[in-house]
Amino acid sequence: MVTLKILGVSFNYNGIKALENVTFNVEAGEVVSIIGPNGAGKTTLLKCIAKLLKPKHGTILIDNRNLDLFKRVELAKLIGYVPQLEETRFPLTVFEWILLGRKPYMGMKPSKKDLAIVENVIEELKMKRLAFRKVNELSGGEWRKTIVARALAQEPKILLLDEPTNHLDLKHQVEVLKLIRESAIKKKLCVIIATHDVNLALRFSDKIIVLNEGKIVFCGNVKLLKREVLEKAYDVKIEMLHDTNGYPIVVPKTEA
Amino acid sequence: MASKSLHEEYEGLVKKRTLFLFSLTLLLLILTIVSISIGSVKIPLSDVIKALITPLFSKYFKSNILTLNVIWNLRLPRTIMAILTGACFGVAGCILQVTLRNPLASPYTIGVASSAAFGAALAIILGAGITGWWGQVMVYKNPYFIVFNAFTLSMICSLIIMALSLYKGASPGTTILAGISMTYLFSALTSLLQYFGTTEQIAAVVFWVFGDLGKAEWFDVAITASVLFILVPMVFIFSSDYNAVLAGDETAASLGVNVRRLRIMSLAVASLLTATPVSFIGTIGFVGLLAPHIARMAIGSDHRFLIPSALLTGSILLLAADAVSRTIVSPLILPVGIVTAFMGVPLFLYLLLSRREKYW
Repeated sequence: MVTLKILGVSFNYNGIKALENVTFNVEAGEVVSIIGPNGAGKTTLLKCIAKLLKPKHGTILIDNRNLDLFKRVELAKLIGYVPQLEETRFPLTVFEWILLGRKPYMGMKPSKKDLAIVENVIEELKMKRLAFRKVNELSGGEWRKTIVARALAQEPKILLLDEPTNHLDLKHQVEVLKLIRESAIKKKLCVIIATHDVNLALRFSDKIIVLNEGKIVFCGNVKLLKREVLEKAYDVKIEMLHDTNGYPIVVPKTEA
Repeated sequence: MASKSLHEEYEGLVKKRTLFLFSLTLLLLILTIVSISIGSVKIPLSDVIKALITPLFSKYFKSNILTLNVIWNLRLPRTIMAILTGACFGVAGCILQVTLRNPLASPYTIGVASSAAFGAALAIILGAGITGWWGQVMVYKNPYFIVFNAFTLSMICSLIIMALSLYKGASPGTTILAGISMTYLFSALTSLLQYFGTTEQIAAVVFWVFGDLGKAEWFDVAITASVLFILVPMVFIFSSDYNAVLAGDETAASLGVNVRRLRIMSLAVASLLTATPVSFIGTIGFVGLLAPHIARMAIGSDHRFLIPSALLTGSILLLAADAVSRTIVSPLILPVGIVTAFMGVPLFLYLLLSRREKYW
């Protein structure tokens, strides 16, 4: 059981504010989605948690231990990170790309267990057909799924996903997020998703964080999210509906 | 196919690649013997093999003294130097292409060729080096004076590039730009020296730049071999780190790789691997660029297989080019660097264009 605490984290890029006094907790088995307009600081926040950026102020605690004290290799076994963009597409096969996720655990040669885990993830994501295709020949969606699969093969305790559903069609969006949600519950993961897709976030998260200009303007249960908060953050008029299961749906209002 | 599980299929892929490495090794061995047999004096293959094992089994074999002499003192150092140099260039190109994530990266991207050429020009034209006591010791043995000058200058150049790159966070872009600007700087310095040199001196510099495997002696072979055998295992154990770097710096870091350290180490190793043979035999182009690409097309980007196969491909390319350079207009020997380009470029373009799928 892992817990993640973000305490008063601030960050700036050469004086340009990106995060300001951000504080929240994530419990094991919980999916937290961060939404907010472009440039709100979502990616920066994920990078701070992944220790790719160092916060200027504040602390991040994993199991009450300061993130600074973790070694890189140690962290690689704890945190899986899916970046917003992963461009370089060398001619590795999908199987090999997902096997990269086993890097923190293996020396030169992957063990039987490493191969079995990769195989398992591929089957769970229904990617068997693609397993020995070259990654530079995949469609945008297949590529995205491959990267998510790699993070899952890493068997992390904390999963940080930056736009995991980018380029995915409706079916695959639901498929990937459902799998992430199920793994979160089954394997007791802390999952943080940064996304532009407000409705998917509302549908698949336990907790929503709305970030605007580096500050948290809302943090709490999906059902407590008010229309006014989103309207202010995104600076657009919004209509909030509810689907048959009671999940909120957000639609921007248009003039015409 | 359908009954095969994924890990079995993966293990099949691994087996295929291992087999490929074995066949490359075999090809290299055969090519070595053929290359020794051909030249201005043709030596039958059986005599070559006999002469090669004579020193080991002198009780059982007797070889012609002349044949022994030609093989052990002329052909063998040259042949082995070709193999070692190709290997050095192949590995150096391979680790630079991945750490700089650039298909155009080659050992010469980091300024080794032009700085070594400047070092050689300095020795040839001014008769002076900045190698201090090193140069003083070596000055009586003229060829090594040039060698040390070339080596020292290329080390200075790569240290500057590493420092510049580290100063700016060791990103691939900065490193490449630092390398290219150093290349231009040292080329300009060489031109400056040539401007003041005599015709003979300029000709000597030009010949040095062409590269000549014929200069290789056993001492050169021994030094190059030691550098290769120490450095290649060192980078080889980082194979899976190189694989992770394929996914970008951030992903690699999140997988536990110290990307900056890996990049700087690769720069250092690649410059040593390149500067050593270049100092002895001059600049030979293209092998360091082509060998990793050809190897990657053949077996993919898993560096556990790519590093050894880039090494073997480099050796095979240079050895073949050397054999051709010695025979095509025999008894004249063409500079091997020219032949490398003539042979390598069509091969490379053929591989590049004949492939259905996207490459790089």
